[in-house]
Order: sequence, then structure tokens, then C-alpha cells
Amino acid sequence: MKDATNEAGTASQDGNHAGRLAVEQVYGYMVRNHKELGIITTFLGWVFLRRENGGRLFMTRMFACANLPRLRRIGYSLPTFTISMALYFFSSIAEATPDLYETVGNPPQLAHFPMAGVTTAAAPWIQPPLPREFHHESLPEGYQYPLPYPDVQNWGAFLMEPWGKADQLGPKTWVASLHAGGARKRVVVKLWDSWRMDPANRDKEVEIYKRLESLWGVDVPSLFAFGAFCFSHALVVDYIDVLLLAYVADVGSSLVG
Amino acid sequence: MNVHFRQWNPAASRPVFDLSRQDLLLYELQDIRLGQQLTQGSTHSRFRMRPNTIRHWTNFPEDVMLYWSDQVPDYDKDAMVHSLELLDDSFSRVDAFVFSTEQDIKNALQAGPFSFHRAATRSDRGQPLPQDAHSEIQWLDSGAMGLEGLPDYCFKDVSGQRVTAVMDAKTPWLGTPDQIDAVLNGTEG
Repeated sequence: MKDATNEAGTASQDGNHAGRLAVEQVYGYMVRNHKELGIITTFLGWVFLRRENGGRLFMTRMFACANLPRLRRIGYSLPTFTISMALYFFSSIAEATPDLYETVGNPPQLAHFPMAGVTTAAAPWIQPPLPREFHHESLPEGYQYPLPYPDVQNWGAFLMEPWGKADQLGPKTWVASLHAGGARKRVVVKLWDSWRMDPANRDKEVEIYKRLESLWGVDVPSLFAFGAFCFSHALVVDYIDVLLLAYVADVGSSLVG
Repeated sequence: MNVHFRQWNPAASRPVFDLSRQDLLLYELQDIRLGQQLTQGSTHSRFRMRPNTIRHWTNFPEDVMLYWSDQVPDYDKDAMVHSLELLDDSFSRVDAFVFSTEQDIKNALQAGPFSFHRAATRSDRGQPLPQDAHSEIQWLDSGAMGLEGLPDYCFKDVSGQRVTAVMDAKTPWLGTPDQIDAVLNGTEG
């Protein structure tokens, strides 16, 4: 088979096409999680995928699990290697391949990935980052505080349970979560009591995050939102697990001490 | 009442290695038997994304063979990492499956190619590790590793902390080679 280049979008992308849906799904996992490599397998068939920044996807044909004439007759590509060899090769290059972030524009900014609909319609394209602003909504009854996420169409609810000790990170910082269907994203919420404090401290932190925007999602958490939240000045950033760093710092301080 | 005690015999419990890494990896997978009633259902994942361009990864077969011939040392190829008995058992288990659901596919992947990969890249039974580092395949049935979305499997690095690649299982009666060719050629509409 000659090299094939499919400028996606030149053909109809709608309809219940299992192949397209499978490729979109695995590509979605790859690009959202910053992974360069992926595989689709049916046991009988194996497709190996690799992506590049700029929305570029490279993929093989579907290789048969074995060099059998029956499989060739029904369209499988008979490999010159075994699948076990391919997996061995793949796990070696995967180990050596760093994360690959999708960026758009010049200077590059981290791309935005809208959620697809729960249909068989074409998946969304990679998008430039959305302008970030905070939306405030009146609180419902009870202790769960839903408020819209700035990428409103993607996240249906914001859940914060400040009474849970596991979610308390400090005197004014909590872990919360954004929800969309079955998807969940952890975030960190920092609140300043607006009855006792003006928003200057919050705004100073916002300015710092804005200056570090090129590092969002890489070395520092992404800033999702800021504004007024009930009686508090609020700041919402991505959740990053820093257990390892905390451990290193702890070990370091104990050595010094 | 007679109680028959057994004595530990170190020679008997020692794992048998009579299959080299090369021999293990050169085994082809087997054909499978499909059931009469096959589950149907499309992927509606909200995590789907659409690439701007799709190109054929044409040199993948050459990359595999070049890696095997130029980068895998003979020492690694000849190292004894598995046993014929275990290999036979894996093939027999896959042979016993009648494939009707995606779960059947996943069970066979675990019993067959993923167990071979683990034997070749890890030292669970004391077999020698390869000289280069390999990510391991992990089933993500319960959704772990902090990923967005829920791929069926991931590769995770030797530290166990970082995901290095993702993998998803589909059924062969829905994910066919014709369908993949159509995506490659832009004729899937």
C-alpha cells in the first residue's frame, strides 16, 4: 500500500463507522494525556499509532495476529514480524518517549480539547485555549457547591466538599472536582474570606499564574478560574500530585536537620 | 486420622526456563473462534478527538526489524525467560475461548500476548531482564494512573509512575481491517 495521507475533513466524518470511532477514541486518549504512542487491538488485528504536535497522527494498517492466508483474504496486512516482537519494540520506544504536549499558535499555547458528544458524530478538532474567566452562580441548598467551569460546555458540575478531611489542603485550600458525564478532573480551590480580606492577595496570585502561562500543565498547575465565590475570593487551579516532591523535601530537611 | 505432610523441595519448586526470549517472541499468536451471538455497540467516548491529518506509518515493520536486529543484543535474545509448558498453557487457554464479547478479547489478550510480553520484559520468576528498559502493560479496568478517559490498557514505565502509551481493545467483528483502511484513506464516510 502506498503512503496515504488523509487530510481529515475531506471525507464525511459522520455516521456509525466503528473504525473511525476507534481511532478517534484512542487518539483522544493520546492527545489529552500527552502520549505520543497508542495501540488499537482486536487480538486478531493490531494497529500501531504515533502522534506529532499539530494534530498529526501516523498509524499502521491493521496487522494480522499471525501469517495466515485466511486473515489475508479478509483484508488483514500480514506482518513481517510477530506481534510479540512488535510489542517488545513498542514497549522499548514507549519507555524512551517523553510526554508530548499539543500546542497551537505562535507563540505556542497549550491546546484545548473539547469533549465529544455521546453520539457517533465526528469528534471535535483540537482548539486554541479558551479565554479564562470566572462565572459565579447562586448556590443551591446543601453543602455541595456546583458552579460552571469556564469551559462551560465541557464540564457539567463543580463539586466541592470542604468538610472532608482528605480534601483539606490547608486553612484556605481544598481539593474539588469538575464533572462531565463519567469524566472527573481534580482541581485545587483556594478561598479568601471576603468579609475580612480584600481581593489583593488573590489577584497577586492570579498575576503570578498568568505570567507563568507558558508553563501551565508542565511545571506549574493550570489556572482554571478566579473571581467571587459566595462570600469568598476564589482561585481554581489544576490538581498536581506532589507526593514525591514532598517526600524528597522531607528527606532533604531531615538530612539537614 | 492420617495426615500426610509434604516437605519443601527446592529443586522441585525451581522455575523451569527452557524458552529463550527470541523463541518466545517469535511465536505467532493464534487464530480465534467467534461465537454465534456477537455483541454490537459503537464507541461513544466523550474523550474522542479528531486529528488534523492522518498518515500511514509505513516504516513501522522496518523499525521493528531494525530494532530486533541492531539493538537487541544476542545476550538478550538467548536469555532463557519462559517455559514451553507455560507457553502451551497460554495457547490452550486462548484456544478454549469462544469470542463473543469485548471482555473475551481482553481475557485472551491477558492470557496470550500480554503474558508473553511480561515474561520477556519483567523478572517475575527470576528470569534475566533485558538490557534496555521496557514499559509494562497494565490493565486499567478500574481506571487508574490519573488518565483522562478510560483506555483499556496503558504502558507504564519501569518506575511505575508514568504512563508512556495507551491501548484500547475492540472486537474483531466491529474493528475490521477494511474499517482501518478506510480511515487511513479518508473514505470512511
